[in-house]
Amino acid sequence: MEVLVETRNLKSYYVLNVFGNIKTVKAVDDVNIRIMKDEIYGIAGESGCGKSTLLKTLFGDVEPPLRVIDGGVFYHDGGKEHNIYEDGGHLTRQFRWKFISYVPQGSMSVLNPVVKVKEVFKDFLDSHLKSESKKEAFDIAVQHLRELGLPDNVLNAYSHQLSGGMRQRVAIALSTVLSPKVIIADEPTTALDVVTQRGVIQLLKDIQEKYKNTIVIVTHDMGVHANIATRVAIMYAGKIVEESSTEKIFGEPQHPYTRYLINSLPSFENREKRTSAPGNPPSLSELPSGCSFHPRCPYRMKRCESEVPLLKDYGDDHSVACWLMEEK
Amino acid sequence: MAGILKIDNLTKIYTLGSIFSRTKITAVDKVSFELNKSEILTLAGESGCGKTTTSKIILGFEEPTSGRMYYRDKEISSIPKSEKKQTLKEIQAVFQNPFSTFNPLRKVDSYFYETLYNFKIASNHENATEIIKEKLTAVGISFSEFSEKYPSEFSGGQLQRISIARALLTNPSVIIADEPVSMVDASLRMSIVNLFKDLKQEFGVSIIYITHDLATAYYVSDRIGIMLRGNLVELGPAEDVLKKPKHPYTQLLRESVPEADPKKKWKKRISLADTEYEEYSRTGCKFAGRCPYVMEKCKKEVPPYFFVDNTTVKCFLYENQGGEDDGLSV
Repeated sequence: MEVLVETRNLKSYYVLNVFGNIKTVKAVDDVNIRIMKDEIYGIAGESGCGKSTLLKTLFGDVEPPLRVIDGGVFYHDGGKEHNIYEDGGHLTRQFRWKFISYVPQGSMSVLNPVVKVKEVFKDFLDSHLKSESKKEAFDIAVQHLRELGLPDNVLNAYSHQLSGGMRQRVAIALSTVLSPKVIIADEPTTALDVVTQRGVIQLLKDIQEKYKNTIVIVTHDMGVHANIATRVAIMYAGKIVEESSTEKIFGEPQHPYTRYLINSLPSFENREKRTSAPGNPPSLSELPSGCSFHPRCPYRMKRCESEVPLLKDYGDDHSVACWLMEEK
Repeated sequence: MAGILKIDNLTKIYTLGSIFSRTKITAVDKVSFELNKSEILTLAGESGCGKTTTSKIILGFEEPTSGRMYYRDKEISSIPKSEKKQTLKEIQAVFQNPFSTFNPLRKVDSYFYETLYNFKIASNHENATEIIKEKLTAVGISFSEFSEKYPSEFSGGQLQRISIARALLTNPSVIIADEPVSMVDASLRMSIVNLFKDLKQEFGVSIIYITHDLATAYYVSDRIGIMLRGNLVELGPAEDVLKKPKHPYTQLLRESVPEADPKKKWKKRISLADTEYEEYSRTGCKFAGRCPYVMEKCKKEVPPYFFVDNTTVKCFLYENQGGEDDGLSV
């Protein structure tokens, strides 16, 4: 399988200077992921675990106080490997929207409220395709919307005239108009209700099937991952703690945190009492020593308090970062 | 069991636009239900279905256009001003976003003391602290981690528990919780929902739980009411409504809940509502535009309520199966 986006020992921290005290928030800490062609890669975790920061770093949208401290993000395009953080990050512009595109969190407010949707499309096409006339840009937009099964008349509407689900679908259409190879979606369905959520996921799936591109989807809703993703990574306190195919993550979760995430979800099969992981997620600026999950973990051992477990493949493409796996 | 809160034919019409292009939206359309003592009743539906408006009317933030509400057999609008405070004390609210519930520039504990003094529950500081400690224990927060802090110093889950503790201060008999878990992380969601279960069992509190998350609704509630564009389309025991959904809209909602099991992916395709306004302005059944079983009749007439195995359904499909119901609760 062809790798499209890869990170190697990626560390991106927020470095804050509070009255002379340097405070580092380790939002992405030593992450190695390889995103393949033609897959839907899901990243799950609680809020504040660094999943949105990971996406920003993948997209090359790093602005102070966020800094890439170590490692790099590599795009594989046209048989060449590009480190996007070499060269002060000037490379990113040529990749944006043609190679990699981004559906940000809360896309409800992405669209400019004072111009019509078609102006937004035009603006967008103008800056990425050379010498596009107004008419041509409009035609491209109409054709693209038709392909995605959205009505043409949204182009003549202002964003506030559209419902939340429609705005979200327009934002997705906007980010796919140049048929990028990788689409990054940050919580694309979080603000929507279940029926609209299903419609938006249906659209994302259709796009993936049609263009055979790759979607990286971040959400804390495990139900969404089960439905759409082909591979899932579980993130906790800035680190990937488990990564495998969707079937294995849901069928045989190994990390205690993953088990909590999955078992705490209510289902329609039984109404027995369910419990979520005890305690609260740690602050990324004051991480516990050793394994970050150890204060909440029911299986913690002496070793967990001092040594950090690394993400290791225990066969069948199932990687886990937990000392319990070594005991087995 | 006697109904503690009774809602009868509640209607709220919003008028939009200026004098020249006036449009009316019926946000709540003749909704009737009864809340029993120590019961959790869920109102569920997609965004813009009128569930929040209903809760606002019950709490007195909005005036209903027509309809009556009874609290312990007394009509709420006819309660004299002197007794109004007593009613307020009995019906408390928990809101969606805990960070906008509290003023960010005010310490959270000041709200607690203020509530206690306002309702004359506590007369002095020690007495008040005693009560606050007790309520905080009920939600699993210690007094030391709570006192003298601003809202920003808490996590979302903690703050939501605190806002539940605040609602408990006056020993209410009804709590109206409007989307209390939608801002809370999935992993902490269960702790809030479990809290509601405990409150019901320990204090006998009745809860109206408003949500679009059917999975937690099924887990926590005794009865569920499904709302669609201002109408209550199905009402019955949670077990019946979600295991054997009757109204085609409930069936759609139930199927659309993503389950954390890759073997249960969605197979059928769905069509989404174009605009909310279009559905609101439909004359017949509001679901007729999206319903797979739509009949000619549905487009013209508003279906009445039918009573089929424990459940009240507003759909013509059940016309010949059960007796016509007056629309009131079971």
